[in-house]
Amino acid sequence: MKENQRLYTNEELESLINSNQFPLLNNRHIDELDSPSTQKALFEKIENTSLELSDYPKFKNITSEDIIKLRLFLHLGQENSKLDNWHLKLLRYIEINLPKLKKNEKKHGRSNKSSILIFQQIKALFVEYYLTHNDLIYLNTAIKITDLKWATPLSETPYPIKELNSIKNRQIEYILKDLVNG
Amino acid sequence: MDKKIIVFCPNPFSLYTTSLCELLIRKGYHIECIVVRKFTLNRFKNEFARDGKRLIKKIWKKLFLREQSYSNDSNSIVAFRKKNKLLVKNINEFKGHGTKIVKCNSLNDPNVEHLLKTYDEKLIVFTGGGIIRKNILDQAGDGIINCHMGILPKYKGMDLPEWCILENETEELGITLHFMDKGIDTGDILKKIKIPLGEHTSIKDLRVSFEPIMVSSMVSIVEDCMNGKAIRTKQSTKDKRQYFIVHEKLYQVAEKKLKKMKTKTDTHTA
Repeated sequence: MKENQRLYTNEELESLINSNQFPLLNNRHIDELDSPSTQKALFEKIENTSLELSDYPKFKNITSEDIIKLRLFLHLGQENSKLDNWHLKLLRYIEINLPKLKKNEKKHGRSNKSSILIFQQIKALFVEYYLTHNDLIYLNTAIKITDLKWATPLSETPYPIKELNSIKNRQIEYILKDLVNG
Repeated sequence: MDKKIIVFCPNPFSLYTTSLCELLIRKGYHIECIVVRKFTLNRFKNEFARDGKRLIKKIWKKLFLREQSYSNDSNSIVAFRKKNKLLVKNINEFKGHGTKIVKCNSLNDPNVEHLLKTYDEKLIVFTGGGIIRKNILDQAGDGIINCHMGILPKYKGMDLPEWCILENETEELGITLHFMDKGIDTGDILKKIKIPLGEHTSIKDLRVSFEPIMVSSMVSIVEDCMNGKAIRTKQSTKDKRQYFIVHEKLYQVAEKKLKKMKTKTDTHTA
């Protein structure tokens, strides 16, 4: 078995899927995903009780489902060099391209809605990475994503993403207060 | 054959550049050429995209206020210059010492590459001006020396004093003199100098205290390189981590942490 393909029990996955932390995995919200094929693919993966992640591709080919998988791995305490590489390369891409991220997203042909989904998931990943690893460089980039107005959920963005955005913003504020007092 | 010293410079009024060059000339070295970046709208746009509002403050301080932007801090480069009687305020004054001044839009321009090709043996001293690309690195002769404001290999990237404070690693505050290569702060290390936190209660004052140390260390390392006494140590390529510009919210956290550290030390001493 490959190092990141532990078989998770049905109870473990069920608990995660129903968790508020992963709104896009919750069956109730599955119709809010981008496309029927993405929904099918994600649903199938979960049913097989294994999680697969490819090697880090070009940023334009990354999907919000990839980021959800990274968050799941983080939540499950999985660590390996492939995941480390994903985290570092994601961080580097966003930091180096920060001034032209919006332009890049348009160039990559992603819709505004998809960009919001993916960047909100990345922000969530980075906050969670900080919470599990105490690595401030990830919190730093998460705060920068919060400043991106075009990546902020709109009124028509599905509720789970708006809720995720709100939860993560509140977590950032608590962390910042904690850092000063700590 | 004489090795030529070439200096890369971000602007004609850089106190770091003028102090360094004046000290080297006093020690009997000849500065063959100073390559300085021009001010263009394009440069402003690119740097603004990277630095945001910080750039406006930086321009105001470095180009307009210059020495007046420093307080009476005895640790500042202004105090250092006064102590060492350094008088040159504009790189163009070095023309009188036979130094060529070459202007460019970018330090990676073809005219800079062509200039470097005309010298067989050279040592390039980097005092600012942006990222150096392969075409220039390939023509660098002995290499391009940089003074990095962090202890390598751990603290690569930007805003390292702030990151040391945020990570509660103030014993890792310092500078590293190293050769530049195609990576970010990954070149061979020449010397590391730790700088104690001291009495500073603001990040601005802490950063100001680095500058005189950077000048004197750079002079010393250039001498070592010219005399063949410099020892290069390769960095490990394992750690790919890099620090980026600190967000204003974390900068404020770092400032508060620094003040708290000072208050704690004062209470302990009392």
